[in-house]
Amino acid sequence: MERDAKKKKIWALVIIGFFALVSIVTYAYNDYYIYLSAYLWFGLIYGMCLQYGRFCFASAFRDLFAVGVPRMVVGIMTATLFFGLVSSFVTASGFSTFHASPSGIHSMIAGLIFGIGMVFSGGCASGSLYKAGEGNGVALLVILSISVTQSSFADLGGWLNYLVPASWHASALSKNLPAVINVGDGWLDQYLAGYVWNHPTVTFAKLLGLKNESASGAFAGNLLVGVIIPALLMLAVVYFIWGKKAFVRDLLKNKGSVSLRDHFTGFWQMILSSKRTSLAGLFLGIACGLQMFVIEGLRIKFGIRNAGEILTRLGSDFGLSVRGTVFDPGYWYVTTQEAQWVGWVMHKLGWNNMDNIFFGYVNGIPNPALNPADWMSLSLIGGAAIMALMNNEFKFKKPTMELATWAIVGGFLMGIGSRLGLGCNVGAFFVRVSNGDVGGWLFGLGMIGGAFIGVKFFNWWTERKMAKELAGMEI
Amino acid sequence: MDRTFIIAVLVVTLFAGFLIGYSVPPFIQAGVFSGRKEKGVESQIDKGMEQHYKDLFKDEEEK
Repeated sequence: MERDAKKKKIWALVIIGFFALVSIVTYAYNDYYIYLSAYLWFGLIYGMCLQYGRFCFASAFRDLFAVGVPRMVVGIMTATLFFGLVSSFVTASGFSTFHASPSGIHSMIAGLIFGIGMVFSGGCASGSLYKAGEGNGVALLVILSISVTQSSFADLGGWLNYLVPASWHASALSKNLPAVINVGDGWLDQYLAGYVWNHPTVTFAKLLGLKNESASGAFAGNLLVGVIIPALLMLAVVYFIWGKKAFVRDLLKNKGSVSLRDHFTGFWQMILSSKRTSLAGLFLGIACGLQMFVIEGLRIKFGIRNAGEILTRLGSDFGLSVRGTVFDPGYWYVTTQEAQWVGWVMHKLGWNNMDNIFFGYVNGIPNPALNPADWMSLSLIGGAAIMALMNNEFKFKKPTMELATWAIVGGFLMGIGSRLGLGCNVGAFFVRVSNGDVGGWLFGLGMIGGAFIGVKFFNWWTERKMAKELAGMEI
Repeated sequence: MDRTFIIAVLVVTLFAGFLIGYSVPPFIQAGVFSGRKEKGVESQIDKGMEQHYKDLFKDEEEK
């Protein structure tokens, strides 16, 4: 047993050594690779934090709605508060690489679909990545399902075009996109150009008439009004519905009554009970802020606006969008790069998927070996593996047929939700909320609703299955 | 504390620290840390690269 644990620790060092070697060798080959290494090392930090804090939105809401345990939800909200604080510093300093996305009811609907999917599959987008690093086969299937769904959905037209409202079609055509982008064909293209792009990008600072980059906009608008107040409200709701039960019961038994002061004590105890997730959230927040700083610094150094220019200088211009760009968010993101690597494979197999907005106009399908965001995701899995191996929590788990089916169905729903909401629980919720984007909360509310529906459905499914099995035994 | 964990943290800190250090001078050169009024940075884009990107929208025969 001890020998096994020692072996796992050696493997952890081998993985970290591998990433160090990749960084050193590529940098020695060409300076520009440092841009990709920046994504690599921050991805590794995210992976380590996620695994340490068990940072999974699906588990968090499943625990809350199914068994009334708020620990992880509280941890996630605390993490959001920390990231919000760091983001405000970064924004007020003018280093932020964050751009708000168009907000509207579509964000909420997307979140709803995503929320149902994450409960079905047993892991959100970020949770599946760190669980894959722990050797979980189901999580790998979820990632595959999200990736294939997004990549296909981005280019599907045909009969889906009949479901596009005429107003979306007309509005999409009026955007005058380059001729190589066939904006009139494809459901997602017309949804994006004909509907989503017509919505405003709204931050809490903007709503208050402040500039995002000003100290008052970043701290009073985006942080206080956009993160602290809603997060505290949400935590208060969690405390009064789920968190206070055991605490109040004990208090009534010993003291006979509960005062407002007792509730404050109970609230604080609830916050402290999720120390591990909160601590991970603190480091995640700091790392996210530092990544924005580093990427912005490298962009100034190399005189670029997007990694597409780096790839061109490295002599790899395959898969760049029509604007010469690739997906290069400058901060933590999960789902778009998953769609890209499958998009690249499909393109190589003969599917022309560069005539749509998602790949052809915005993100491109660069070679995964040179895709900065793919370096981040791979190292994130590596970082999670390092932590799991060091804590003797790494184990290969083969999926059963039932779990595999749920993983594929859940991954499919998360893939659709991600593309409709322009991101997942990280890109459309965690990062957006922390940066004061109103749409982030809309996605989050939808995601919570979806998780609730998912949990209720699962309860019904399990009870039905058990009843059937019991009936079979009686026979 | 576990020795493997300390080594992992040291390696990560080393690389992350290098990256942070590497990205500070461009900010200084861009005058971000000096007392200038305007916040934020504007990348100095290479002219040849700018033209290359403008040409991407043109048809082959136009080039």
